[in-house]
Amino acid sequence: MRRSKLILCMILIFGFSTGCAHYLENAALKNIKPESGYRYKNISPGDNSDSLFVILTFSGGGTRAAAFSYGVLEKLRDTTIIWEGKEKRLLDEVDVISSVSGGSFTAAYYALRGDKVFTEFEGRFLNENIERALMTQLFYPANWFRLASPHYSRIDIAARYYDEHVFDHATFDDLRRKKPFILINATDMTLGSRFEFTQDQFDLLCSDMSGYPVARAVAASSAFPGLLSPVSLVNHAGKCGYREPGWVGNALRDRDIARARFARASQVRSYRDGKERPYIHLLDGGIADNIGLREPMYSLWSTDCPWSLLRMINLKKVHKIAIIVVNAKNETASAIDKKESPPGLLETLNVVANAPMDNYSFETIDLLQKGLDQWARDDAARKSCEKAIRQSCPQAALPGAAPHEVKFYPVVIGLDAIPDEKERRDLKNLPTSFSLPRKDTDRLRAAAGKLLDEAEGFRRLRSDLK
Amino acid sequence: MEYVKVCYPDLKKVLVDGEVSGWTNEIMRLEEGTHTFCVDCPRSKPKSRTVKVSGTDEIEPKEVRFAKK
Repeated sequence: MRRSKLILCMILIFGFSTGCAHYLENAALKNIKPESGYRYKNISPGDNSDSLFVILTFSGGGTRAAAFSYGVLEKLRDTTIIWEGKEKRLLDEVDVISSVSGGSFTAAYYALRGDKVFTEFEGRFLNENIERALMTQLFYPANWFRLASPHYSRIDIAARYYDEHVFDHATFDDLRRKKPFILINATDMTLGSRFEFTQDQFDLLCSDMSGYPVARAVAASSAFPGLLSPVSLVNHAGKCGYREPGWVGNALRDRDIARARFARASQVRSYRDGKERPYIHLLDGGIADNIGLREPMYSLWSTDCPWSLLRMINLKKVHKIAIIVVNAKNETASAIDKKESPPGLLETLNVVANAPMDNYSFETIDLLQKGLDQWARDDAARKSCEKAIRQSCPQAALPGAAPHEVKFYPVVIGLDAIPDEKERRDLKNLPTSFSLPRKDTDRLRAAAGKLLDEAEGFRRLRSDLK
Repeated sequence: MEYVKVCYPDLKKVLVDGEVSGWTNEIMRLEEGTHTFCVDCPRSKPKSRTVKVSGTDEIEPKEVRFAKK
């Protein structure tokens, strides 16, 4: 009798202690310190030059995306270039990786472990059945009590698992302070806009990101709506003496002429009101941008971005820019058009969740290409004008020295470009999950390397870097 | 994309909205919108200029003029 009471008592104590479980809160920041924290300007270039600027973007798509992006890292490791008289691996010239969801696992692991990614990542993540491991977590009694707490949810179990089994409890302070700089993208549920895990973004919340687990950022980036709950952050805004960047006030005057800029400034202001928005809830980065390309485009077109490439170009620091978009979008065969009865709720939700993301990704890539084409047309117009003036009036000149010329190498690789029909169909049919057979991850890695090798922009880049 | 030339007697770095973003007397690329320019502060006149930049091109950039004090 006494023994059963003791057991009951222990269960109750255990239950109460875990039932009060709370998600890991992000720490408050007392003072803004621009010289510290995970920001582009605090990352050491090491042997990586700014003059050749390489950006990778890794899309969402679960393990399929992780394997596909990993194949790109392998290919870049094996590609030798000569830049500024030095022979080196192209991988060592990668400056920024912007990632979403499944692609964030590869990006974060590489940023943490460097070349060890090539010996560790397959065993730690790529060929692990993460999905089964997460399901198993739900059978642990401790997690039942934790989940009873209103402040603890499925995403916290996932983040805890990634923290223990994939990222070894690493925080943003543990990320190597050398290039590449990684941008792990999530989506702010209220704004529907990108939220990236950088100290510049956390400054808006008066929060110190240095002790925040990388695993939680990756969990937020891959918190697929419905399957996983959002990651929550506490907004400490108003307590750290934050001064907003100079562009924000100016952009708020631009509603009529520059709506995107106005919207970005309004979003910045929305975080500043800690009373109106005391909590920020984050979902899968794919909802705002499933290929991770929007932030690099912002950097390329605007001097407002904290790591503005446009500023670097104006200052003549950058001469060649390669943007490699790694898009693991799939296209699983659908049976809905084969049945007369209308699709059910799950099938409908699947379309609602995925179709807008895929359409938006297509538009984003199109926007990049159009922007680069316009850039080239502007430069060509000035050159032809200068030539005409020289011929008719050698003493005359156009106003100002011409803007700095930059050579672009846009590269987009996707499963739909695989030439072999069977291979293409097989790989495009792989589901979005955190569990794929090893033979499939191997095929994805090989396909990524081959596609990159054959991409016109990549060939041009390699040829110019010999 | 917009094009701006900040005119000043000396070769100096140009601050746009508080960030070093280009050089004087050379054409800079900027995003469309309102920007605040500073050059060689506080030795320039005026200290700063806030200008709406829109509808420019590489052949006819917006000119933002500063003089020495």
